[in-house]
Amino acid sequence: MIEVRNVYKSFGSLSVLEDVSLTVQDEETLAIIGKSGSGKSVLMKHLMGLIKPDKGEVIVDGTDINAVSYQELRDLRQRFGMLFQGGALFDSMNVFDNVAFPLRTFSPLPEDEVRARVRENLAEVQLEGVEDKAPSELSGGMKKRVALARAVALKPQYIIYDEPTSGLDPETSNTINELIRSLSEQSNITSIVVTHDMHSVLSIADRAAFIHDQRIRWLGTIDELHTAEDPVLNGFVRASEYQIGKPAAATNK
Amino acid sequence: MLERHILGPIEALGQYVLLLSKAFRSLGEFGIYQKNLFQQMVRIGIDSIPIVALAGLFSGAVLTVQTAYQLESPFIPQSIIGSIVVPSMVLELGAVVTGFILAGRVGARIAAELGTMRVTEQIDALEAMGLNSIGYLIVPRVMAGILMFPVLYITATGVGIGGGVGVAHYGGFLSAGEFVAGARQFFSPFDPIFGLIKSFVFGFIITSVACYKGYYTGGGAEGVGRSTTEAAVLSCVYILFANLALAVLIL
Amino acid sequence: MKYSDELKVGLALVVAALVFVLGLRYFQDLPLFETTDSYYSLVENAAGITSGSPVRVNGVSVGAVRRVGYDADERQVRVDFYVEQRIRITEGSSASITGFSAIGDVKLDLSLGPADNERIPRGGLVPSHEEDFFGDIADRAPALVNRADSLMIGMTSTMSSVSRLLEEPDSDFRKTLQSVERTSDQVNRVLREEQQRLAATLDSVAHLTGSLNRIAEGSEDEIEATLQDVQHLIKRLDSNLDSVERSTDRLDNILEQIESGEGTLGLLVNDPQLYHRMDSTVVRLHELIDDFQQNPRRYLKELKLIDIF
Repeated sequence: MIEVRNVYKSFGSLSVLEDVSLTVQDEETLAIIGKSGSGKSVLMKHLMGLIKPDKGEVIVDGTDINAVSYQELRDLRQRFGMLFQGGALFDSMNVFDNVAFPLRTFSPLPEDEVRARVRENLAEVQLEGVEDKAPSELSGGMKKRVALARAVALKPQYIIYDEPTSGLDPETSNTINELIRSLSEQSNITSIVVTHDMHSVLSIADRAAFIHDQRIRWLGTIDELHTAEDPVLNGFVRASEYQIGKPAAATNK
Repeated sequence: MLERHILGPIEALGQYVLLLSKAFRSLGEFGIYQKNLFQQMVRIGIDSIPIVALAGLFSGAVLTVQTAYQLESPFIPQSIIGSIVVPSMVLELGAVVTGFILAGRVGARIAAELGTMRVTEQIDALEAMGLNSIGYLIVPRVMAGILMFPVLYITATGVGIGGGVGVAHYGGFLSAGEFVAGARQFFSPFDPIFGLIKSFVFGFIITSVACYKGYYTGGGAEGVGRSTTEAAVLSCVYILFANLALAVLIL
Repeated sequence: MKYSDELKVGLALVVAALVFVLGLRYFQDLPLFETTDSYYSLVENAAGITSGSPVRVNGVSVGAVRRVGYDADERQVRVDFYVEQRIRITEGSSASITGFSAIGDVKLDLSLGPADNERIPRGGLVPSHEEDFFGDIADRAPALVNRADSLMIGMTSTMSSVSRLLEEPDSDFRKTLQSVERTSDQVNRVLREEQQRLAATLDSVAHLTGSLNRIAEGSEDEIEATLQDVQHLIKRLDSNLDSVERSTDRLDNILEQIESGEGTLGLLVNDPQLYHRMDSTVVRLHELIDDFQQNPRRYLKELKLIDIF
């Protein structure tokens, strides 16, 4: 369980988060939605201590992650898997080594077991025969899938997805959404999806938090989303739903 | 104005020192970074040997020819050329030429590498996995710099003296024997030690400045370009300052 | 074949370290691989010796100075140095700083003790004997200056006596030259006299021939007597020619003397007057002899006209 309590964050004179509080329940899939630049990526980075809040606390499984030592924080982060927007695959390694990297670094597995696990993970994201390719040779969707395979390699408790479908065509987006859903259905996995793609939200999330003007303006289940009476939220949702039928390019930022 | 021109640099210095202190606090986790260290030592050190040797060869040769040109006098023994070329290479040129070349070659490369990792969130990815990105990325590079620069310095100096002797001998300025005799006459065993100290310091400056610039890159591809240029230029400037400071403090 | 990074790095480090150490030893003039022993010495004055200065035995470099520092306890300069291990530094050895620092040529010279003495232990003290180079110079300087002075004085006096010799009318040098000149004059005179006498002789020959002619026409006794006269005449001519030869010999002698005489030849050659006079004399003599050979008749003809008897 992750609790965010009264977090404030500003960069220089630009205030990004003001008094944000949020609780992520175990085994649920929470979507953080909002316009581009609304601060949802910043909030996401607070969840695993990549950014420290100016004020407030972030508590993961009962531990205030900003009060512990760097070493403890890093141990804690190993419970997380994260899928970055652009994949963030290591350029210096091929696909296989990228996926094997967390296993080699943090697990005591011998090399042949690492190989088996990597192949398994890649098969899970429906990628085979690309092990020896460099990340630069892959398409955007393939990169995301490799990154996903890497994110789940250590079987994390929490998986955070940062704009998992942005920049992808609708078909690939659906594939990614399917993967996320199948992962989140496995036991003991808590997912946080940061996105502005309402199609994603509707297909994978249990709950959604809407960020607007540096604050959480609305928080509720997906079912409640349709009946919500917040004009700003409704505007956002309708604009997104209107775009669902349109070409993928329009769903980008 | 005040903030930009005074507080800015002081803040940058603080950030740099903090980065380095974090890096050296993670020295204990050497095991994890060991493979990286050797990889960086090859990239920074071994791969730079040819260019450094070439630069050393030509500086030694040119120094010899120009010294011979300047000392064309019947009252000065020709062996003085050796007495000038060898200490110059050992004390100054070997280290400084290596430093300048590597500020461009290694400094720019490190800054570009880390800058790209920063803007494509690879550094965040490392952190998110629970890795100490500073330890993982910076420590091996700075250590490789400190360990391999002396090797490059020795290469440049050795090849440079060889080039000087070669040009002197085959260019007809003075024989190799005279050259060596001249070099021995004024040779001080502390000179190469001092050159070695310089190369340690230059190695540290180049790699740490480049790591700092690369690690804190912001602003996408343009930011990477800016970091790369700044890393190369600042390394050169700091090498000049460090060179003077070392000469004043130690000699 | 692909080598591992570790191997490459390790190799580079080892090679660099080797190059560094060997280079250091090479330029210090130490043996590259041989091991060395270290010793130290205490001297009053470092006199320009520095680390890296050569250590020599009998002028051969066998090591190098490692460090020079002031030993506050001993109140002396402590010089640490290496020496090749094969050099046996025995009791009784001593060290001294030699050379001149201005030309960067300062050395530590060791003079070894007797070979059968015990070896001084490694790191031990090799006593110094002061060979105070500057002091030496200072001590010797007055004597040196005096010697230079006296040398200059000697040279000056030599030069002045030479010039006096040349200027003084009574000097041997002058006299020699004058006597040479006089001798040449005499030779000249002799030759001139001989010329007249020769002419006279030839005149007589001419007379003789004339008389012979007459005798051929006249009595036979007269011919006989005349032939005797001719014989007599020829003898006289012979003796005259002998005297010419003697004169030439004397001239030769004089020339030889001039040639062998120290430095006088130059003066002789530089005296154009003298040379020309001698030259003209010889030329005239030549002319005369030539003329006689070519036209003996000229002289014989006249013999017809004048009776010498």
